[in-house]
Amino acid sequence: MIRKKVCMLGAFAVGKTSLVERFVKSLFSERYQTSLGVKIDKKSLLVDEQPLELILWDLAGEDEFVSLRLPYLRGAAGLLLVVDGTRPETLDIVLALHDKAIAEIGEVPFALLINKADLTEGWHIDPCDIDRLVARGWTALETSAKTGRGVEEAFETLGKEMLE
Amino acid sequence: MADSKSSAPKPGDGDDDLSTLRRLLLRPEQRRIEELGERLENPELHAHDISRVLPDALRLSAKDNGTLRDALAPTVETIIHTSVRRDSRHFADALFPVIGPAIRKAIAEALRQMLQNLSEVLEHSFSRRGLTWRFEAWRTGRPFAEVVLLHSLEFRVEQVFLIHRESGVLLQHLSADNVAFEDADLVSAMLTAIQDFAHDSFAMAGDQALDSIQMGDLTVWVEQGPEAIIAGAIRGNAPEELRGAFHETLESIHQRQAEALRDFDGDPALFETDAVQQTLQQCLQARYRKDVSRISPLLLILLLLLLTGGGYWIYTELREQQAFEAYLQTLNQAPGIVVTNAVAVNGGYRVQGLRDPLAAEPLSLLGKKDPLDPQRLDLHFEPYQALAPSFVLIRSQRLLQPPETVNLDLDGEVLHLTGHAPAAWISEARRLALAQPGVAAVDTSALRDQSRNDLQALQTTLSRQVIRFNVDTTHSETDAQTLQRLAHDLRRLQTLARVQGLQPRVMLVGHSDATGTAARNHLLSRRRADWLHEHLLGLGVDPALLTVRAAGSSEPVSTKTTPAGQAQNRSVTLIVHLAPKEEADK
Ligand SMILES: Nc1nc2c(ncn2[C@@H]2O[C@H](COP(=O)(O)OP(=O)(O)OP(=O)(O)O)[C@@H](O)[C@H]2O)c(=O)[nH]1
Ligand SMILES: [Mg+2]
Repeated sequence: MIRKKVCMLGAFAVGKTSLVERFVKSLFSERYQTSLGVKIDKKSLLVDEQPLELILWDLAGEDEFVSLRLPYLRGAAGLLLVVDGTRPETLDIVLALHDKAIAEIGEVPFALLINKADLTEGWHIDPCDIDRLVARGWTALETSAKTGRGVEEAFETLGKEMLE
Repeated sequence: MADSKSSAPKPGDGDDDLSTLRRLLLRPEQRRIEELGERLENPELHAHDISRVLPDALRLSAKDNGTLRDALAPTVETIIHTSVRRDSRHFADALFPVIGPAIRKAIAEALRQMLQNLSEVLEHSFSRRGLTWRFEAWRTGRPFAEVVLLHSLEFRVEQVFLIHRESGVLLQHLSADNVAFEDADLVSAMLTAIQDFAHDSFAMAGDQALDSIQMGDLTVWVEQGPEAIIAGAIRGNAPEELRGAFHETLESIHQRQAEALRDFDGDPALFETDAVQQTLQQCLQARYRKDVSRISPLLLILLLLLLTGGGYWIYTELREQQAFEAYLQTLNQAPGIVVTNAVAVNGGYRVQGLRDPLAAEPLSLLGKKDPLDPQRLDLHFEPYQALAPSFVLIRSQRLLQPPETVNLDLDGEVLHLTGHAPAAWISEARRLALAQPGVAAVDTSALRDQSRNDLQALQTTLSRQVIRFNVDTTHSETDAQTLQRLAHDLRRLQTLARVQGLQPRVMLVGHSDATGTAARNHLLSRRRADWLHEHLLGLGVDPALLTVRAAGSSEPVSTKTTPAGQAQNRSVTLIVHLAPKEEADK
């Protein structure tokens, strides 16, 4: 079975840990506990009949005190860039992180996840920004770790891209 | 062509017709010969030819009798020797996959057997340490054997991870037998993350990396290679040599899987081969302390004591059981004792039965050194009369109270009385004896009446009595005592005879010696008899008993003519006559 290292990138509190938790264990918690360092999980899935094991590196989100530890990215076969749909600034942060990652490990398959899609009330992200990225060939998906919406698809989409 | 050699054309000898002709005629052959010559001289072509036929030749030879094999064997052996001497690694590598697992298996087996050993179990069961371990096994839910192994462990590499260095993806994972392990994929990734973290946080230069991580009672040794990492989770204190083993393993994997490592894209299948697994096995080392199998001398002594104690207990118990059975037999054989019930009850024995009061005391039948403790015997005997001959005899004895002169004897149910006894006792005895159970008849035929006996004895004594007189005297000088005694005997005679229903008569017969005249002698004898008669009456003898007769010298006591004989004849003798009463009355 093929194993691929996937890193979760994004600003703090965007829902990286929650997405992994939802995807791996089908759990969700409202409680926010910021991640420190890295937490690793894994999940097997079938991509076009082919079994694939994802080794998910859930990295601490970047904020003004903590910056991404680049060595963790080494050997990653794919990236999930997570944005909080209620906080537009998290998109800028994740784009910056993406650039750092490319500098460190080169281009690898990735997908942009706009998370907390269940919170339509406070949805502040500008759809135009997203459309611009999609136009550049990016894969962007709306997800909700709370309802589970789009989560499986997000991981599967990245899995497929990694196997191509 | 026979002379071709002698007239062979020399180079440059162009004008010789014959040689021209020969050249023309024999050119194709000539070229062929040249070709063959070249082939023979050129080793490269030679090898080429042989290589074409050699496989077939070998195959054919193998099919036949194997002479080729025999011929090749020494050479091949030499080749192996040289090769090993030159670089033993190749051979070590070739043999490793076979030897490694074989040794490991043998060690594991030996350990398992060692633990099953009785002494082990005892040691581990009874020592304080053993009990602690048992508790630990119970608490952690691990098999006891495993806990023991862990504690007697010097070190053991429990798991080895072969990790792709860059991505942290697990390439291969091995774990020692009986080791529970977490998800190896995650551990592998975490190890890499830790590496990355350390590298980043402590600003390590270039290839520097963590080579050891302590996690609880596990130490993780990490050996870094350019493309892959080997990590071993070790319990206990591993020796530095182990590091060497890790290093060698990693090197060998890099050598052999160089391409696969470089081009790794997440597919570990390339590393899930037996070859990689066997190489990794080298890292799964373990060492155990020897003292596991040692039994503490204290325990041994304890065990010995226990065994001897148990043995002694069983021995005494058996001995007592045997003694009890023997005692029961003795009881049953003893006359007058009947055992009706015998059971062992809480540490002792209860015996019930019947006992003749005349029988032996049951406890006295227990030997002095009998292993059976009398304290442990509970005896209940109801009294009864046994008809055992010895008891019938004893009871008869008690009942009849025979005089010493009587002997009792039981033959079957017939009581034989022998000896002599007073008639009154005899008749009483005859009556009483029959009342006794166990006596059906009384035989007194051999029992003589005591008084009759006495009477006869008295009669004899009296008849032998000779009261002497001096020459020509009618007064005896016999002492008063003899006379008194005589009087007493006569009185007794009378009494005894009366008991017998007899009438006694005692005739005092006077004698004289033969000297002198018959008339004188008669008178003399008469006077002598009278003298005694008078004396006896004086001593209280019944006059009715006595009669007097003079025999003169006609009935001499002694026929001898010697003075002594004559002295005998100067005397009075007694003749006792006993007649039945009725007859006497007539
Ligand atoms: N409503 C809603 N809340 C979410 C969702 N995803 C995450 N959250 C909440 O957002 C908070 C932060 O989520 P985390 O998953 O811990 O975020 P993170 O990106 O791992 O944060 P760091 O580890 O600090 O970088 C938590 O309170 C979550 O409950 C979502 O899809 N919908
Ligand atoms: Mg987190």
